[in-house]
Order: sequence, then structure tokens, then C-alpha cells
Amino acid sequence: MQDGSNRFGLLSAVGILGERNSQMLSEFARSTQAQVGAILSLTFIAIAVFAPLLAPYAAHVSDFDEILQGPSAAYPLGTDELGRDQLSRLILATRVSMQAGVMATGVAIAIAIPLGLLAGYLGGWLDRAIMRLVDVALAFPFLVLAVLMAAVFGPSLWNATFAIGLSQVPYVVRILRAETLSIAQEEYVASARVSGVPTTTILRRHVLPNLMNTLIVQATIIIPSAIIAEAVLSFLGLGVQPPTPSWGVMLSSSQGLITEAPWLVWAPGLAIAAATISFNLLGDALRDVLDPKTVGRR
Amino acid sequence: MLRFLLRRLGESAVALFLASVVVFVAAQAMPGDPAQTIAGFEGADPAVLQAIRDRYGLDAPVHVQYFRWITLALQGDFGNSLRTNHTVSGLILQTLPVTIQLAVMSLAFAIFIGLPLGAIAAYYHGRWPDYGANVVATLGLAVPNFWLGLMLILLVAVNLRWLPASGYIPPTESILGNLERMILPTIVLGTGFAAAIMRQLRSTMIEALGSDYVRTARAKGLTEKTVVIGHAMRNSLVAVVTVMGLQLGLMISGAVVTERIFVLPGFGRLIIDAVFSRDYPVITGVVLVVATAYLLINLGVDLLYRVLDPRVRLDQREV
Repeated sequence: MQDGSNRFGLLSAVGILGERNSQMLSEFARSTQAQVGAILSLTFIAIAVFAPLLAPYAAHVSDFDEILQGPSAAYPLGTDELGRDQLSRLILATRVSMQAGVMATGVAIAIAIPLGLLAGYLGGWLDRAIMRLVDVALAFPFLVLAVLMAAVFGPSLWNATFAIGLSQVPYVVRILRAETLSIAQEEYVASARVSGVPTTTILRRHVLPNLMNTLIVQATIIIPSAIIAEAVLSFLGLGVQPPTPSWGVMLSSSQGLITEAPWLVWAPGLAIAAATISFNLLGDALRDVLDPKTVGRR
Repeated sequence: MLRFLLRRLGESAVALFLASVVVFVAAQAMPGDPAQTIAGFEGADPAVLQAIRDRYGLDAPVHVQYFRWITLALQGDFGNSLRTNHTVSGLILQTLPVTIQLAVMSLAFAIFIGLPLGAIAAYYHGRWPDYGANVVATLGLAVPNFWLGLMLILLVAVNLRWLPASGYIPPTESILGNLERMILPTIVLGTGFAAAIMRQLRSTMIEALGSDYVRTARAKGLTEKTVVIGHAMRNSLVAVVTVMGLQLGLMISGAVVTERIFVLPGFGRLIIDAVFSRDYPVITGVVLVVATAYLLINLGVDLLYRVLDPRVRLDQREV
């Protein structure tokens, strides 16, 4: 027990982390769930980063003598209809999923920060206008948004991810606005205001840093749902386009081969489920530490 | 209640108007010249193109075009499919029953599985039935539904040959054939909801079972069944309705995916096919109908919520 708090106590001593944060981090590090979640999530990220080094074969290279081979020593997960190594494609597809998770989170947070902060801090008609806009955005089911994006700009990973991120904006805005409202009541914000500090500086220096925990919690909610959403869109053909390997694309092409090559169906689905569970574990543990109030949302 | 209803209706109307503007703008931004598309081929005679533009008012200012489009849409006229020349409303009416059947069956499945599991987990809180139900729910939420669909096809249809893998038979033709083909899609779409319902009921019911009114009910000597089902569970159902409302958006994307996997000729198939064939009237028509349905169902959930929970009604009056 003592050991955990010392580890991060050093960081707080050199001023990298505040006392409260170091306490929370050590609490976090002691939880088994957090450890398992962190190790698994980092593994997925590492696979994504080092994918080309880890993959035994190049993902696009076909070997027409090895079409639809079952799992073997040379091809642990078998080969697909073009004689491509399934394991290599699975590894490279990890990149697409992690990219989708990170980019969707980035889009959602980048758009939500200014909206949530301004609505919460300035209030008045701007607040009402932003919140009404948020209500309207909630009236658009996520898939409808993705369909419109694909219809107007063409199907691609970026457009799919943008739609995923955009669909999360209303939720993040609501939470940031509520947090900003309460931070704006704090004395240090009030004293900064009366001493004539410009609003943008107050928001940047006093409000935003206090929202960090909230943003991290939001990211842990968005990443796993974005991974699933990307797979769904790519499965439907609205996301990543073949021949780029993606778990959704791999599942989609495996469907037609389900009788001849059932092994192709297993791996991508298990990968999606494992990645989602990993990031959810990490997120749940982080949420317990950072924000006891958060209620789950999907 | 009436004031709330009116305000909520007004909000929905505003949201719907803005949604229609977004759909219209998106349609305008979609690549391709509509006059070319109507003419049917590239490089048509400029005079012909001009005649088409005049006839369909394509040169009119944008707001005039919007007004014309929305007036027709409100009368149920979304234009004709560019691909098949069927009316869009006809296509919608043809596909909608399939999706509604799928949605209703999935919801029934989710309630049938989710409620008992949640109640059992809450009643045996911290013991093995609770852990078991929790593992099932966690898996139900984490397993992507399209993968579940493929695995079910592999197991039930390909290996065991118990049910057909895909396809659709209208119930008017054969009720048995219809149900046979709807069982797997129902399970695929319903599993996630069952898990969500189970988790929500479990957590609210655990709280309810520890509350004063349940203790009082027990002290009064009511049977355990009445206490658990009549009191604790009944009061927890409000939260379940809320969760079901929140899951609605997922229901829509889930239905699209499920229809794609099982080759069901529903709404989802219609819109995905339309995106790939760049059939803009179909896209805008379907999107508008989906957004409307979504808003109306949300409104319904909101009202149901207020009817079910007297406390919410009271709050509303005090404000």
C-alpha cells in the first residue's frame, strides 16, 4: 500500500503532479482492474504503433497458391480469398481502430471545449443558443449522420471518424458546460474576473485545467465506442475501404465465405471485443478514481 | 402536464425543422448535377438540361427550393428514386414494416431476457447468480452485434442447420417461414438491449431493495414476491424506460447492421443501397423519416417517463 503512494509521491515532490493527483494515481495503480485494463490497452496501442514490424507478412501481398487456407504453422489464422495472411491483416487493422478511437475523441473534444466553456461561463443567450443546438444534434441518430457524411463526402476512414466524433459532441458539451458553471462560482475565478483578467485567459488558465479529469473520463468513454462504431461503419462499407485492412472490412468480406472459410469470421470479431473490453476496463477504473459521479453512457 | 406537452412539442418541431434544413443542405452538397442525373446520361443536350432545370425549378433560389421540397415532403412526396424511378414514399412503405417487425421483436426479446436477469441479479446481489448475470451482460454489451450475427449464422444455420441463414418471407405469405427467418436477427439486435436493461434494472433495484419502503413492506408481512416484484421492481422500471429511450439511436444503427447481415429488405438496406448508388431522393427521404420517427419516439419516452413516475410530475409542477 505504502509503496504505491511513494512511487507517485516523488513525482508530486518535483512538482509534476499535485498532491491530490498523486494520491489519485496511486489509488489507481493499486486497483487490479486498472492494471489489467492499462496493460491490455497499452498492448493494443503498441500493436498499432509497431504493426508493420509485428506482422509476419505484408498485408496487401496476395499469394494465389495459398487462397483460403485454414490455420497452419505458416499462417496461424489462415489466409483469405486473395491469399493474404489473416494474422498480418488483423495486426495492421489494429492501427485503423486505434486511429479511429483517438481521432474521434480529438474531434469530439476539440469541438466541445469552446462550446461547453462559452455556454457555461458566459451564460445568457449564447448559452441558450448552444444548448438548443446541442438538443437538435441529439435528434440526429449517429448512423444517420454517418450516412449523410458518406453521401456528401464519400466513404473514408476520416469521414467516418469525423461523424463518430461529431455524434459525441453534444454529450461532452453538456458535461463541460455543467462543470464550467460550477468552476465559474469558485473564488479564484471571481477574483481573477474583478482584477480585470480577460475572459479568454480565465478560461484557458483557470477553467480548462480544472476540466482535465472530466476530459480524460470522456475520452475513456468515447474511445471504446468509437472503435466499435468504426468497425460497424467499415462493415457497412461507409468507412475504411478495401484493400486497407480493418476489422469491420475483414468481417464484411468474411461473411460471403462463411461456409468455405469459417476461420475468417473468428479473429476480427474477437479483436473488436477484446479491444473494447480493454479500454472499458481502463476507463471504468479511471472513472472510479477521477470522477465518482460519472454515470455510464454508451 | 399540458404545458409540458406543448413546450416539448414545440421543441420537437424546432428540432425537426433544423433537421430538415441539415438534410436539405446535405442533399445540395452531394456531388453531381441533379439535372444531369435526371437526364440520365452525361453530356446531354444543354437545351434539354435547361428544360429539366426549368421544370424542376433547379435554378430557383435555395430557400425557394427548400420550401418546395419541404412542402412536398410534408405531404409524403419525397420524389422518385433515381435508380428505379419508384416513388420514395412507396419504397419507404414497402421496407418499413420489415424494420418495425424486427425492432418490436427485438425489444420484446430484450425485455423478456433483461428484466428477469436484472431482477435475479439484484435479489442475489453479491452472490453467484449476480456474477453470472453480470458476466452475461458485460459480454452482451462488448460483443459487436454484427459479429454475434455472423457467429450465429455459422453455428445455427451453417453447422447445425436449424434455421435459414438469411432472406425474408413476408408474414402474409407464411407466418412460420417469416418467424424462422426473424429469430436470429431478433437475437442479434436484442442482445445489447437486454444487457443494457439488465444492468440498469440491477443497479436501481439493488438500491430499492435496501430502501425504507421495502423494509416497511416486509415488516407489514407482505409476501416476498409482492415486495420484490410489486414494490422494488415496479419502482425501478422508470429507470429502465429511460435507458430504453437512450438506446434508441443504437437501435437504429443496430437495425441497419442486422438487416445487412441477414439480407432483410428493410429500411436499413434501403438507405445503405441508396448511399452506394448515390440515389439522393431516397437518402434525403429516408433520413428525414428516420429523424422524425426518432424525435417522436423520444417524445413518447419522455411522456411515458412522466406518467410512470409521479415524482417527475411533481417536480415539473413546482418549477
